Amino acid sequence: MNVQKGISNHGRRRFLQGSAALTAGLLLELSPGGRVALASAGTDAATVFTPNAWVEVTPDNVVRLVVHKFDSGTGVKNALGLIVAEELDADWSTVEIITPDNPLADAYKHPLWGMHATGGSTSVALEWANLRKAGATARAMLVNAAAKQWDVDAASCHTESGKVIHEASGRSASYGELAAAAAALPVPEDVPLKDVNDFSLIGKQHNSYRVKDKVTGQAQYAIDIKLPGMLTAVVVHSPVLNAPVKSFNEDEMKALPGIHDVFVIDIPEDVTHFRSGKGRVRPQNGAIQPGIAIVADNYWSAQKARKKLKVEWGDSEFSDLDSDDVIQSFLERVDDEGRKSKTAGNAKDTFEHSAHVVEATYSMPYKAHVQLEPISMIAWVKPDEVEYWGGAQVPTRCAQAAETITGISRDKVKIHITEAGGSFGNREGFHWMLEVTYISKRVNRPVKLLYSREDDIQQLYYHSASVHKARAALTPKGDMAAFSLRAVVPSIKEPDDPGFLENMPVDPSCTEAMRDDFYYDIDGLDLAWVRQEPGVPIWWWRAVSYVPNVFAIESLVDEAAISAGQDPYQYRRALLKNRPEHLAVLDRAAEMAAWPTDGQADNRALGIATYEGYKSYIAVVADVTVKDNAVTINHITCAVDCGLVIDPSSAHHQIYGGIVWGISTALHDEITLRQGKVEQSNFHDYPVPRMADVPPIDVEFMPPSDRQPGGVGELSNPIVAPAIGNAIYAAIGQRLRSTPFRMT
Amino acid sequence: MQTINVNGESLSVDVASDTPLLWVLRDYLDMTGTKFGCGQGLCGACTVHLDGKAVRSCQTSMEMVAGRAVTTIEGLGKDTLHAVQAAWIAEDVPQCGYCQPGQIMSASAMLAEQKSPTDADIDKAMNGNICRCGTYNRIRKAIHRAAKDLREGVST
Repeated sequence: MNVQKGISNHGRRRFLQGSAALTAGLLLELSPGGRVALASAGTDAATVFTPNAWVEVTPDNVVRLVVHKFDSGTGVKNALGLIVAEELDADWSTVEIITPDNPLADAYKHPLWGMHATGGSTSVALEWANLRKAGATARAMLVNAAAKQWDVDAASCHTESGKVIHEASGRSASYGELAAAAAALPVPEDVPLKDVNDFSLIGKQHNSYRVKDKVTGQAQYAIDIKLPGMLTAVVVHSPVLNAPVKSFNEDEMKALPGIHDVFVIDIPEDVTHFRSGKGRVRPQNGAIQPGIAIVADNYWSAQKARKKLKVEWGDSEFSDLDSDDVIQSFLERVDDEGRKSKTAGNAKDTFEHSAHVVEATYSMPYKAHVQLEPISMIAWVKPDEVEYWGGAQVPTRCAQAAETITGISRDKVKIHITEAGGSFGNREGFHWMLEVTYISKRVNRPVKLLYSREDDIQQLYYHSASVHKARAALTPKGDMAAFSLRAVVPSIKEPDDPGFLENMPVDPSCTEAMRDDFYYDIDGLDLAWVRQEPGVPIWWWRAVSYVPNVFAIESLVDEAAISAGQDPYQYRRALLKNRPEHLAVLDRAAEMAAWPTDGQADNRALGIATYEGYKSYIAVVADVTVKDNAVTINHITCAVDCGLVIDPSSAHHQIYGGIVWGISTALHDEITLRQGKVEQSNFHDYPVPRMADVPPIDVEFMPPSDRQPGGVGELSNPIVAPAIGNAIYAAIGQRLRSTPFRMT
Repeated sequence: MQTINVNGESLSVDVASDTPLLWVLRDYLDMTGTKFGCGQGLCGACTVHLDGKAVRSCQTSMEMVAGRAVTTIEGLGKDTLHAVQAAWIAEDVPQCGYCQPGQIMSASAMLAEQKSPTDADIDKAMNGNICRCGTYNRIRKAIHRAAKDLREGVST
């Protein structure tokens, strides 16, 4: 086990949420107003106990736990902190959760993706073992230090709430008192972990970390941070995707009050690949959007000046782009063979010989993230280092932006990760990183780049539009003998990681639930991705391809059940008969919702849907009324099995919030493009659910299992649209195959 | 120079008269608890009180605040929490927390007028505040809790 000396020596730079920050030996005080000022000197590095990249104990008994994953409201701060605190036996009420000094340190690399990033609902599941070991190791060393001091057997000591206790002699010491001694001990390789039945923190009710800061306006988001001498910039992009600037009223703009500079943003066409050693590439799909930077004293001055901007935009290859044409182009490919993500049996044969084939085509439009805090980032390009402040969900992007724009290598990049007002995938993006780095370099000052809500909706990336064709071959009894699916979407991974598809032709980000993770047992399978690239900028979005894939699968399974004259719930039971854990979740949801056994009333009915994702299972029943061409959701019932639940309040938040998100997808989410322009711009034409729109939602977690924790952050949103669609069919006999659902 | 009364203090600011209150608070007075979400009065993140009534500060001009009392989230409770803030903590309402100052300001303004709000009252008063993380159920629960605490004189 490597001791992360990099954390404790040289510079002692740390960004503490809401308290103090250190840069190059200076202690900067982060006041509630967001200003970073100078305060007094720091602590003696030598006596701080830092056995690994996640635990710090100071001689004055401050226990700091590093959570290296990005929390945009996902609760990861609590979850990961609790895992370490549990094994460490820390006093959770006094623990400080901090972000890493160096988010790009090797210890913090994503175990699967080979870069520094948070996403994919992987944080708890993949860090679980590692963080337990980190906490347990620190605990073992503290115990050893005490045992040595007291000249007793380590086995005769126990720990509790930040103290080592030797019961027999009545001696105890706080972790702080033992810090210096523990720091001098060798780090053990193997340490025992707690039995899950002995957990005292994990699985118990906790407030989210620093909830008080969030309710008193003290929590600092990227948009709140101010640095001495900082300027604020906005970037005006063409309304038509990718149109360049031909000319603009430069002199007039520069003379406006509060304006520091105005210039065309000139980002290189090719950027440094985020994987070291892979050179420069030309990214696709919107990493570089031309525009004009307006650099001002503050945001309002910039936005005021913006109204006076007169730009002549050039031509763009997207001037004719219409999102309806995009869907049409996808429809034309639904019968392609595609790139197989999963095959089994002889599906082709089965389809040819089946007398009863049920098939349908489903579509979804482009969707926006509209997290409530618009995108912003601060960059400070200095002669030989670049410093960032903001919601850097993928710290690797900062390194990539720095190298691309300034040539400064990633080991000279400092990143301070702030709270974030939601992400849902948006903050994994890249082009504002390039923009803010460019602007700071050009004006030679720290710069905050802030996207307005209109910019955030019109100038970023979208969840891709999609068309799926699903087919089921039924036996004479109505059983499903074969299932075929074609997912027609562009590659999501390729814009993020150019060259990726050379090594893995089937994009895993497009084929979730279509690989070995397909969750029904059917003899014949023919599941494939058909790649179609319209060129509209797309990116990750909550649950990524589970959204359209599960919509198609759960809708078609329902259509097949009905075509076979069977109850949709019972039909699914049969398909899950060899998957007892998943079946239990389906059964529980049906039980909670009192699934009817004798038909449903006119205009009001239940619809059911289920899937397995992120190593978790979920089932949802939607209770819907359709009357006068309007859909009312009366109730949503949900059962979840996500293995061990770390933080019940937070897990519930994620499932509940995801259901609200899913309602948005079912009824609202739609970005349209006409003549290359995104039509929507703010919440008046991109509506999202509000207080009055949300029905009662019951969420139940299955009884605790010792199965490893699965993901919850993105688990629930994909299952809502199909459940609602299935309920609408049951209510009025009309099958809706496109979202957002519109009654005609 | 203009004088503006914020959280009981008379403060001087030198801003263009068309600067929305939101940006006066955030950029001139360094009070960043009031948040920017849309700039069009559609999302509620910028909600403050003007003479006790909930207003969207991104749509509120300096002229509108002249001679009136502005209360922001920072002034609602600092050493002692407002009942709404205490209820928000008890119900563990926030996820990302970004919308919550606005939610709290809307809720507290409503509770100053309505001692026993129904769910329909809550829908109406809170419908201008978007929560993209989807904490609506807990917001509703916390409002009922705060209303009860206020009626019963429970101190925070």
